[in-house]
Amino acid sequence: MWAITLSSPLDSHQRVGATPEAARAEASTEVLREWDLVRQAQNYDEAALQALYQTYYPKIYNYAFMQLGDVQAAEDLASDVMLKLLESLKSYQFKGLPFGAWVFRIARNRLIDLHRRRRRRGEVDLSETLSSTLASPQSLAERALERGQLQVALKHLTDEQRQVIVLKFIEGFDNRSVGRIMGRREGAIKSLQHRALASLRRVLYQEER
Amino acid sequence: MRIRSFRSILDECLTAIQQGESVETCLSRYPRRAERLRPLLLLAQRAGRTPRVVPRAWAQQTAWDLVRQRAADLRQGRHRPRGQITWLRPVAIVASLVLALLAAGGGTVYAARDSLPDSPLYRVKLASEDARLWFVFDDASKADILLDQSNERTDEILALIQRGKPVPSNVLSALRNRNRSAADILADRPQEVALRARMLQQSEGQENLLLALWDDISESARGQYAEAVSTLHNTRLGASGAAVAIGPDDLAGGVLNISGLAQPVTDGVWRIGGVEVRVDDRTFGPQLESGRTAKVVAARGANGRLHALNLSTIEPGLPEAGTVVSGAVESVTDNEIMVAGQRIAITPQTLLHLKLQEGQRVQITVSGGAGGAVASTVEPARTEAGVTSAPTLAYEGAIEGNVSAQGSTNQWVVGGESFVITPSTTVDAQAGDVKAGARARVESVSQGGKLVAQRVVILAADAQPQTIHLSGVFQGQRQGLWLVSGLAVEPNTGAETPPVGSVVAIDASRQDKRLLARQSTVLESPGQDRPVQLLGLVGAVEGDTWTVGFARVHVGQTAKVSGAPIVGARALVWGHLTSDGTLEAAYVRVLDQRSIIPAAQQP
Repeated sequence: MWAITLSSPLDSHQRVGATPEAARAEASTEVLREWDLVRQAQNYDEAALQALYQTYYPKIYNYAFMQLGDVQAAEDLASDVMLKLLESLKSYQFKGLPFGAWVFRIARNRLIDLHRRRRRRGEVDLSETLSSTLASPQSLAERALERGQLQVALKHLTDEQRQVIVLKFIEGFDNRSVGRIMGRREGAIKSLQHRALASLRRVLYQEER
Repeated sequence: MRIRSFRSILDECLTAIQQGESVETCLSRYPRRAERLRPLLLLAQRAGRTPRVVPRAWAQQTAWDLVRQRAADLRQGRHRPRGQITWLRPVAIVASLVLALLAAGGGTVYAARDSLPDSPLYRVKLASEDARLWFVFDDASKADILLDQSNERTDEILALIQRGKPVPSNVLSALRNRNRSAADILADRPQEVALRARMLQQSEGQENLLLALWDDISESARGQYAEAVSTLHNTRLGASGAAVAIGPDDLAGGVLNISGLAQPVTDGVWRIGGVEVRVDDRTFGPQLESGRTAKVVAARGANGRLHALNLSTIEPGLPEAGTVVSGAVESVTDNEIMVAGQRIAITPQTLLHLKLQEGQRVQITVSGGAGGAVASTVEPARTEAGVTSAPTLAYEGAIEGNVSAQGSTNQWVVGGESFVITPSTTVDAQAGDVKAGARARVESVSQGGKLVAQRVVILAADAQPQTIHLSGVFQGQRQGLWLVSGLAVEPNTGAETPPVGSVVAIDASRQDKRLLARQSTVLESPGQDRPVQLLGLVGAVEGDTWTVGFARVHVGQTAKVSGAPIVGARALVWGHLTSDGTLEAAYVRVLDQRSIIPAAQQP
């Protein structure tokens, strides 16, 4: 199915042994290479669209799953974001930030819409079910084992704290991009990440004790 | 010297680590802060190493198909329609009311009273109903009237169906509006217990009716259909206090009817007959148990995702065999119809797709057990001998490829032939899951060069993949090949060519793309007495008398029987009624090689 593979700048934090300077240089090259691809995709070039899709569908799925804790809801959101990305692609302009920041901003807005819609319909937020009694003990155990309790612990954080943990430490965005995605200033992200890590540590410490 | 804040140092270290620096290197730059920094940096590192959740390949592929399709549209300059011009709506309402008032003096309102949604007077009827509500100031009475008006829409839909007309959007939007208005009023009036109970019951009945009508909805009314079904569903849930609702988008792909064994997949997701369906236990309660047979009508979203709207489990000992009988109407009254010598009750819940008359050929789906046979649907008979523009084809073969795909696919390949699965196709997977290699019987109609499946039955039998059985209308011969309901078949050696228009049953094998007949039987010839057709569960076999579904069938020496008489298996019978009212079989095909009643449910 996939024709072009795109190495994402967002994975740079996972590389071992790279010097900070080399990593920075590589990241900017990747951002520019991706912008080139986006320009092709803006003309609805199928190979370019496919490459972007291959890169971002799994990332958005992972992001959504961390927030929602529900396979189908995460798949729906990822699919929805990919369609929205396509519809809005023409309006995207490169402003020095990774393209991913723009994609994740769409995802963040869709997630807010989803929560709002569910509240309006009177539905129980699916993310609440993650640690509720509705989930079987077996599936909870599997999830905890698979993701080292992080996902369960995230549910005890505020929405903004959860966002910053996922976007910065799991997805690997820099502060400026996280700020862009969340609609906050860069300085606010610095404070937020401090509070988020401290809260997460408290929750995990309590759970592991 | 400027004192840096802790959050600034933390941020510097986090950024440096993100770019490849080690935790210890960063800590060595800030030894006095190391104790406080270390756990946070290690935690950030741990978060970064969290294994990613990988999406399911089929879901990713399905979403890509949607994106690619949309990209193709955009390349050709096709943009999504913008939102409705909402300001026209009040103008239209005012115009309708003015029209209604003007017409009131001239008797138009009276004339419009019995009009149906396809009539030009229907707008006047709706406007006069709206006008009636102006003079009702008590909320409970208003809700009561709105429920009456909503019920009137049900009657109008049923009347259209009986006349064989498609259901337009105006009646669906009127039904939805009246229902929603009543629900809004009653939401604030918990003391109106009786009215709320009525609304709950009425909404449920209307939702079930609409779910059975996909084929009868006009193409342009599909959007209103999705709106109406979701409103009825949510009204029902709201009234019963359940929490989960659906939106029209959840019905973008129509509905799927399926019955089969239920197996849990994950929280809130079940596999029913091999197809993944979201079944919310806050809506349906804990009635679904692993290993029980369930019958589901599910909404299909644009991405193929299935969401149960209606769910019932089948009682042990009462398998949902779906007895279907086709034959001429021998007699008919308001509450009973007689076909194949059997009396079948007609109730207000019976969906009549035609106005019943004696002598008509009809196909009746029968439900009910000890209380007697009850017609759930009555429609014009499908398989008719003679040259028809849309001959039916029954085709049995092995399923090829990943057809279940969590309900997202609409093209199934069975025994080498491709069938289109539509929202009105019913899938009976009680005898086994929908999966590659399973043997299936597909009853289909040829439409626009495609075989459109009406009913798919997964058979318990495991047969050779190349073994095919088919029955259909013989349409003629071309270059030595028989054309049977659109399929070319090489006749078996010595087979006598039947008259054009005959219904034939053929056992065949498939070699590459060729269908080679091994045996053929003429089931029905044009110009002769039309036989009765019966599909049902074999309930008992006593000598040469079988009970199939609700009927007793005499299987004499002259009857051609394919398969062994197994109690609990499904059988298809072609026969004639004798003067003493017995159904004399001419041809019997036992579809399953073993009982389809689960062992734990055997009576």
